[in-house]
This record gives sequence, structure tokens and C-alpha cells, in this order.
Amino acid sequence: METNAVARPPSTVPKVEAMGVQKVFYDRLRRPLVCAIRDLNLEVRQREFAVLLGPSGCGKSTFLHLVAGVEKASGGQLLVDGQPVQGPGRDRGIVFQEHALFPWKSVLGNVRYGLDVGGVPRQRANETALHFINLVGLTGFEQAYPHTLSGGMKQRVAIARALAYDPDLLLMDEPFGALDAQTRAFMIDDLARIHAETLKTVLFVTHSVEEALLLADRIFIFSARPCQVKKVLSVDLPRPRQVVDARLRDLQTEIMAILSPEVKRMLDAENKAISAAGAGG
Amino acid sequence: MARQATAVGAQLALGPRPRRPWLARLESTAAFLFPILVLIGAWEVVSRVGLVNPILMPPPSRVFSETLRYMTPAGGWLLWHDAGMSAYRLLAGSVLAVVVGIPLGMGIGMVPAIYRFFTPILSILLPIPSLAWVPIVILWLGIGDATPIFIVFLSGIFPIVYNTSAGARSMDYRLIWAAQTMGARNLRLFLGVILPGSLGHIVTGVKLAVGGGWRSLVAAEMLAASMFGLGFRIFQAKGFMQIELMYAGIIWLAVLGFLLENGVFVPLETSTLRRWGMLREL
Repeated sequence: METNAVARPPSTVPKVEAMGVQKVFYDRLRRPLVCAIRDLNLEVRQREFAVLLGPSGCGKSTFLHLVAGVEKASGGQLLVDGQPVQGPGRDRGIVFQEHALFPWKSVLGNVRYGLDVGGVPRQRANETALHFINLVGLTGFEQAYPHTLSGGMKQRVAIARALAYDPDLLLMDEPFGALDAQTRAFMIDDLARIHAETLKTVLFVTHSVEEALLLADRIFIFSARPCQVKKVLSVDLPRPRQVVDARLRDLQTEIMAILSPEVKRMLDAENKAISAAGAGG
Repeated sequence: MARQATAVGAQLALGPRPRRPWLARLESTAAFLFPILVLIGAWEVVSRVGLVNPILMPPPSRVFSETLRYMTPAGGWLLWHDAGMSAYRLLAGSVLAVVVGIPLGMGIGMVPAIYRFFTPILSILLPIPSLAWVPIVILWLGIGDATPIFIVFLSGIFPIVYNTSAGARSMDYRLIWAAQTMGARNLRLFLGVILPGSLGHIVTGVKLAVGGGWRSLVAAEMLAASMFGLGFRIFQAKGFMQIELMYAGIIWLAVLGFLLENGVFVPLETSTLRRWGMLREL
């Protein structure tokens, strides 16, 4: 932590607090279908890079959607800056797994969108957007449409779009999940740099232990569905971090030991569902 | 972008020398016209040698010269008047269908209550061919422009409503979520995100509506137009045994329908959906 102590002062002020949060999905007849989250408790501090790590389909993305306010919790209390979450808001930016850019807008148009909505004057909106396009290394592609860009470039645009209108809290839902290993490695470095430069709180969902260890201040390990926080792990390694670091390797082993039974539980549950569906149909 | 352009240029320079674009275009036009010319040639021969009754199937050369005559003062500019009238009715009916159909389709696609209310109504109205309404509509609106316009509207409203609601429902909800977290609400969200996000489906709906409207229009004009209109003309010409004029009307229907697709919808799609990569190139 010493290397970043100046740039990123540690904080104990809570940014996101979840107390007994629940999320149940219902079918068309309002019968409970899936209990995605049951009694989730966690606290993310200001300016912290918090990684939510868990098996695929465990409900961690759902939790992110609750924090974003695009879905409603079924129970419990969810606070951002001490205020209950009531719908989406400009204090929180979101980056999805597969970019979710507006295909009818250019790179500049996408990045500027949040500023336009916020009523920022055109000239200043352009300048700010160009600054963030530069920050993610896409200068020269301002007028390109998303479909002409590679997967990694699109994801960079999505990150720039989420940063440009300056939300305090950045919610990232497996943003590098669809990228190849090389691109992903670069993007992880970039994101660590951007986080250090912008002093934002980041809530980062992934199922990759490596991503978690390279990025996180703290890792929240989620159990299989219905998800709860199984363990919170502080990663006190200096940055920039290397995958080959022996301490990182040790932590990886530790995390895998906690995570494996959860992944197995998740797979078993899915297999049971598949065979049940097979027997039924 | 400039970098990309040079890269593409360099790549092309390595491959075989690209042919001139106008030559390629000429070739594809020729390839398109060839089968049509063969068909017309065959018709000419068959009619000239008397394999078919030349009164009922006059040779194309005579049909074309008559078509030209009806496009000049000698023929009273007749076909231009007819085409203009038909185009006006098609446009008016289609605009009506768009103005009513897109908001209704959006409502059905986004608001469960509207969906539940209108779905049964639409499902019982959909199977009724729009032409079945013509006699009733004649009683409502009389012989004249209003009836064909209403029939175009009626045949266009269904494809627009269905496709628009499908577009709204199949839209990537993450785009809406992203816009909402950036503060977009209500009209801004609707016009800026949901509408363009559904545009692919909407364009398909409007295309089907105009295509279907064009067909219904001709039939409606035969039954309900008081003067002018290509459908009216074909029907009228039958009464005077002006066989060539009937064929002339049909040729105009084909040409105008073709121009509608390639002169209106293709450029529209190229400047929007293709440019945004929302429509796959074939």
C-alpha cells in the first residue's frame, strides 16, 4: 500500500452499505422463482477498489444492479453515501460485461452522452469527453461507430463513458469477461492506473481470481446462490502487481480453497435443475 | 479513422488491382437487367408469331410505345396523373399508419397494461384482410381519396404495431440501464435511446406496411377511387378495352414499387442501420 498511500489516502467512511439485502425474482404469476440474494451484508469504503468474487450465476451481478438502482431489492437495507438507493442516479456509473454502447452514436457521442444529459454546455462536454477518450487511449477514434471497433476498444469506450460524467462510484460487471487474455492484461493495468488517478470508489464484479488479486484493495468472496459474503480478504500488496508475485500466488491458493466448494455447489445445483427439466420434459 | 483508412488502402494495394467502381456497377446492373430483357424478348416473340392472342397479350414493343404515349400530352399526361394520385394516397395512408402505429407499438412493447389491453383486440383484427373492409369504408367515407387512404392505413397499421412492439421488447435493456444511470429519464430516454434502439424493427414494420399498403391501394382504387390512380386506371381501361393502357398501368406499378424499395428504403437503411452496424451486410 505504501506506494499508493499518497495518491490514494485510505478511508474508513462507508460508501456502500448492505444490511440483510435480499433479492427474489418472481415469475409472471408472482410466484418466487429464484432467490438470488439472501441476507447479504457488506460495507465498501470510500475510494476503495472492492472486488466481488464468486462463482458464475451466484447473484453478484444482481447485487451490482441493486446498487446501480436499476433493479429493486426485495428486502433489507442498501445505502450509498448513507442514503437508501432509490432508482438509478448520476452518482453511480455502470460498465457492463459487453460494453452496452449506443450503436447509433459515435465514440464521442457515447462518451458525451452522460454530459449531454447533465446539461453540460456543448463545448465543455466535448473537451471533457475528449479527455476521457484520451485517458483510455482511443484518441483518433472519436468519430468511429462502436461496431467498427474491437472488443477491447469498445470496453474502453464504455469505461470512458462511465467516467466522463464523473460519478463517485463506478460499478463494473465483469467488464473484461469477454476479452482475450492479452487485451485483458492491458485493460487491468489501465484500470488500476485510472483508479489511482481518479480517486473513485470501484465495485468490480468478476469470477476471475487473478483479476481480483491484481485490482482489489479488498475482495468479497461470495457463496453460491442464494449469495452471501463468505469471506472478506484484504490485499495489501504493492502496485503495480504482478501475476508471478509469490505472495499473490499464496493468496490465490487461499481464495481457491474457499471458492472451489462454492463453485461445486453451484454446478451441482445447475446439474440438478437440468436433470429435473429433462425428466419433466 | 485516418489510420484505419491507410491500413485498408495498403492492404488493397497488395491484392489484385481493384477494378473501377463504375465498371463493377455497370456489370451488376447488366446482370440484373439481363433476365428481365430475356423475359420481355420471349413475350415479344410469342405475341408476334401468334402463339398467344395478340389482343389480350399485345407485344411489349406496342405496350411500351402506348405507355410512352400516355406519358405525353398526346395521351393527356394520363399516367403521371394516375401515379401522382396513387403516390399521394399511399403516402397519406402510410404516414397515418406510422403516426398511430409507432406510439401504439411502443406503448404495447413497454407498458404491460397497454399490452394486455390491445393484444386481444389486435389478434382478432389481424386475420381480417384489409380489403374486406372496402365496402364498409366506402359507406363511411364514400368514393374518393379517403377510402383508399384509409385502406392503406388499415393494412399498414398491423405490421408497424407488431414490429415496433417487438423492437421495444427485444431491445437490449442494458442500454436503457446505462442511459438511466447517466440521468436520462422519460422523453429523453424514449427519444434518445429506446426509439433508436428499436429502429431496426420499426424500419422493417414500415417497409412491410408500405409494401402491403401499395398492394391494397391498387385494389381499393379499383373499387373506390372516383378519378385517377393506377388501380382506378387499370380497372377503367378494361371497360374501354384499352388493353395496352392496362399493361401500362401494371408496368408503372412494378417500376414505382421497385423505386420505392430502392430509392427510399435502401438509402434510409444505409444512412442509419448499416452505418451503425445494426444491420448485417449480406
